[in-house]
Amino acid sequence: MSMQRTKQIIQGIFWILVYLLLTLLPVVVMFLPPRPPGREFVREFSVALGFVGMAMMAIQFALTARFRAIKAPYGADVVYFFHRQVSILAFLLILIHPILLFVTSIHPVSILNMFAPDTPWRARFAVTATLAMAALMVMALWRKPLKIEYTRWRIWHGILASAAVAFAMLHILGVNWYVNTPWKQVLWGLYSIFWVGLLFYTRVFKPFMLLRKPYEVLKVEAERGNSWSLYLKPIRHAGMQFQPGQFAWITAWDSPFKDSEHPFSFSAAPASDGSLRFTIKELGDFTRRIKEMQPGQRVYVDGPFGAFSIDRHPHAFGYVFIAGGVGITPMVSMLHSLAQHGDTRPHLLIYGGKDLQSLTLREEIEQLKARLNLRVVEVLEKAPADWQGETGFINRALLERALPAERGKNRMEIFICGPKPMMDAVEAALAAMGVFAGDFHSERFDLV
Amino acid sequence: MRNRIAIGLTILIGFIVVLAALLFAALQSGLW
Repeated sequence: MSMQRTKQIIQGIFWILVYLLLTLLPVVVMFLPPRPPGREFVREFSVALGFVGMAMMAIQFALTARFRAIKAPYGADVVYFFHRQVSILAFLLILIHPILLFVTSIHPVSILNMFAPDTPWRARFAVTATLAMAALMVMALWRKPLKIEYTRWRIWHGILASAAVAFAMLHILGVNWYVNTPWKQVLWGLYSIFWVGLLFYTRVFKPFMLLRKPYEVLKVEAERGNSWSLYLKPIRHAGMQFQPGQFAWITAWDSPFKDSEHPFSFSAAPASDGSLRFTIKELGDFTRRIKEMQPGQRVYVDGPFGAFSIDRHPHAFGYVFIAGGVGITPMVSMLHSLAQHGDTRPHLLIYGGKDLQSLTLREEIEQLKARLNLRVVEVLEKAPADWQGETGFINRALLERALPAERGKNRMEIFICGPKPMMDAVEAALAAMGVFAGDFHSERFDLV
Repeated sequence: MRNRIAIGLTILIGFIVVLAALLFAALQSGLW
């Protein structure tokens, strides 16, 4: 099992524990003194389910927020599916809460009549919250059969979710049993404000900021390996400060209010005029459309993200870049940045690809060799007859040959980016060769 | 396959939170 995988599993378990902690927090707070006197078992059980369901509904806001850290270990698709599954669970818990109170005759069912004059406000709030939640569930689970357009649905989803949590909160405050002390009231108030604030930040504030800083397409150029270089320039703003090797999320053909962004590495060095370049391989529906982009077209760039950069390890004796296929893009960005700074340290690039045609940006790397103390080792799976370079895969034998003999701790920083099998193999080979784990850095793009 | 992770997680979490709610109720009601 690779280092990266182990790290992902640990991160995955960490976020499950955080989730459980946040879900059970209300029950823990209820139990803290000063605690109201105990009541019947069924009633206490029902109340605990209500509080847990409420916490789960609140955490739903964070699950769809654009927190890369949460999504990275699982993949965004799993997080969205979990959001959907767990909402059913939370809704069930919330429904069981009043049902238990009715079947044990703790409360009469007539309390559900919002319009009866003797119905207390706490019950009216509860009914409103439950109705909002029911509408939320129906619209989410059957959006397509109900023919609700996506953008409109997204807006209503946010409104209904916020309303459900707000009315549930009013219900809890109205019952005033487990929020019997000022500190518990303040805590609960902050808890709900935090979640609704999060929704506002990710769905309204952040897309709005992106909308204010649009980019336009300058040109799209064909590259080797079925890839396209997309050149962007900021429209009436200074652009973003990024470190070479980092990536950003691109939204095209859509508003940033729609959650339809895709992650790509920068493939050029940071430029003073804020212009950006991404080199994108045709792999899916979105990437296949890159070539259709027209000069002047508006796109939105959310970034930068990632820790995969030479700028984080400036004192290395030299850098080793190991790339497979389109994994070359962050490496080229870093090489350009080194050339820009007139770097004279010795660097090595090991670049693997299926065939000569698949070595994206090969000519550009040739040009960079003239400006840098850079050695390039190209490795082809299927080499032409007159090929002088390496063939096969990047394996331990090749790494032993290519890597400089002097590679003591912290001397060479190694960057690896490429398809998963290649990265697993390289990481395992480096570990077997005794390279210090802290000296190699990986970037994986299978998170979405 | 990937969706099974989400379903499995939901079932696990549901199990844990219902247990926690039962424990709370048992302790608070003086049943236990």
